[in-house]
Amino acid sequence: MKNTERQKFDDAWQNAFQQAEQTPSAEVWSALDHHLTQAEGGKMKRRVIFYQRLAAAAILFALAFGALTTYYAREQSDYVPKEVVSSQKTENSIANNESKNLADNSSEELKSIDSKLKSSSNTQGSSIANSLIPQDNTVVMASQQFVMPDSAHVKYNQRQHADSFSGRDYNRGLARISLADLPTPEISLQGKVREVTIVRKLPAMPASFMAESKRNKRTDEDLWASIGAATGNYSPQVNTGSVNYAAASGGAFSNRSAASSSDSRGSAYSVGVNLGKRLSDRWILQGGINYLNQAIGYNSNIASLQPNNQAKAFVADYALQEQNTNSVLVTSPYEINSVSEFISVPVQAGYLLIDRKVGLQLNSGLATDIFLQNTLTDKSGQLDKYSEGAGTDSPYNTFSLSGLLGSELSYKIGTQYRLSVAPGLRYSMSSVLKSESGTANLLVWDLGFRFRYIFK
Amino acid sequence: MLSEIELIKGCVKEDRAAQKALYERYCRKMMVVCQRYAKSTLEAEDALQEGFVKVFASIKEFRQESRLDTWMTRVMINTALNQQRQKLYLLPMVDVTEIEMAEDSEISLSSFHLSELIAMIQSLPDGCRLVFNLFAIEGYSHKEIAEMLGISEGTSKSQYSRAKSLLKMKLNQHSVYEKYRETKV
Repeated sequence: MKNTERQKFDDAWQNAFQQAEQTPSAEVWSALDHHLTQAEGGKMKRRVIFYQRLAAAAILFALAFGALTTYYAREQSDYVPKEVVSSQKTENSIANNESKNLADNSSEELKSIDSKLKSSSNTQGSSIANSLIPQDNTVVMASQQFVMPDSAHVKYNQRQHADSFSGRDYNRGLARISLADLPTPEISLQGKVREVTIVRKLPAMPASFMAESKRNKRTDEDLWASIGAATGNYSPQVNTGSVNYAAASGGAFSNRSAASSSDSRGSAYSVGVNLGKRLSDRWILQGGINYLNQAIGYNSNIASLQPNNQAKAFVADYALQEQNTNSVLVTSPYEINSVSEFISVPVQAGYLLIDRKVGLQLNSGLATDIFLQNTLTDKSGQLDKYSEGAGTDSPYNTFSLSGLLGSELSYKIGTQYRLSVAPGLRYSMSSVLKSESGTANLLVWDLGFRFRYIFK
Repeated sequence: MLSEIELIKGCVKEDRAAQKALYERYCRKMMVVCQRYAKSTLEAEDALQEGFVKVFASIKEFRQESRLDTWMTRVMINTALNQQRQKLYLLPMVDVTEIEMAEDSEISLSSFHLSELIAMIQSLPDGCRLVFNLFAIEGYSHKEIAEMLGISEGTSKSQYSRAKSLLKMKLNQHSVYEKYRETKV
């Protein structure tokens, strides 16, 4: 009964206002019209500011990218390939005395080596050894006739090698080759990530509506997974230590030194999956797992001769690793493709500069790189592949640490997907080579694409 | 004359002529809504202007699942509530589980002019005015009102009860309600 009475009272009021109309003053539309005009101008202004900032960010990145590329190109053009010289010091009187003896023996030794190489290749039905022998029959060089580069640190090594290939006389005439420590430019990543605060002028509306409107524009992505791939270039920044390894004496080959030098720039690509989580309005955390593949060309005249007389592609970087086990031969110059593979586990913090349908974020973080293997392939196909994996005998550190810096320009597709372009830099903060082999701090700059699936 | 769909499409494109046409078609009805929630005509016109700004800004999100004027009324109510929200903390937080209403007979407000009814509602205290509008005229339950205004259900009931008794008193003061009761008796 009470409810009915109350409803009657309420219904009476409801009915009274159902079709009620009251004309507002003309000023309402005037003010509304004025407001709409201002809002249109403001919207246009915000749009202009947005594109201005986007353009500024793109230009800044392009400038930084261009400056780095130019810098490294210039550095690499001045880069002197490390040269391994098999020689003895001419100023060393002891060596001079020895060299006289060696010179006497050199003809015989060369003949001996040549015949062994030939017989080796004949017995195995292979032309590998022959291919290593230049037209002038140079296999190893006579130690006493090398021209000594000023920068090279050369030692004469009287120690004989227990070399399965060489005989007693041959070993006596071999000199140990020392690797020169060549200065390599040290690169440090400097600069600050500039934080840009975006100030949006909102129309005069009630607080709750403004919050709602802001929410609509700003994405509310909280958790996502992405797959991505990137490709680019890298600079190896290799500086190998002083390493001696075997070379033969031979007066006829004095104009050739044992050396390997990498190209100044290699190519790199990576594929991987990542997981991202928003920590606050602007900050995000991303992590994942990536496969990295870095390939670079080498010019080398060194080959590793295996116990079974098979010759494999070889570079000076591995000299330390090889010196105690196999012999290293000086050959005709040939080209090598060196491919290093890593698994990388990155963790990055990201700052969202623009968080809308179009997004722009800056990422920075660290990655633990796990070395898988390095493969050296003779481009001509005459020498066998040489592979180095991880482990205690490897010249490579199994784990190394890299710094990451990049940006991500993205576009939201539908409600669940986001496609992004991600230029970035990766610098090995710790050497990928073990300290006894030298240092190698890789600098990679690449351009990636990521496809993001937004969970919530 | 543009159809409702054409008006909506025009407003989505931010066409000023369509916006004006929409305003002219619904401003009178919306003005009454704003007047019921406001304390004065000036305040109501402010709410009306802000309400239309919101309508134009968010009309692209209107899914046509309800009538346009119903959706616009909700926008106006929200706008008016936002304007009044700061006054809500002044509402007495009374938890009332059961409000005893005085028994009423059937009433008619047809003899009242619209401006008189609006004036009666506007004369109510802020909390009473909001709750009465939401409960009696918009048809929300006390639970919904409590959630909308961030108050307890008991507070909503007590505000409504007070609003009702105040309105009855005002109706009595105009003698019409009294006369009506006499004739019924």
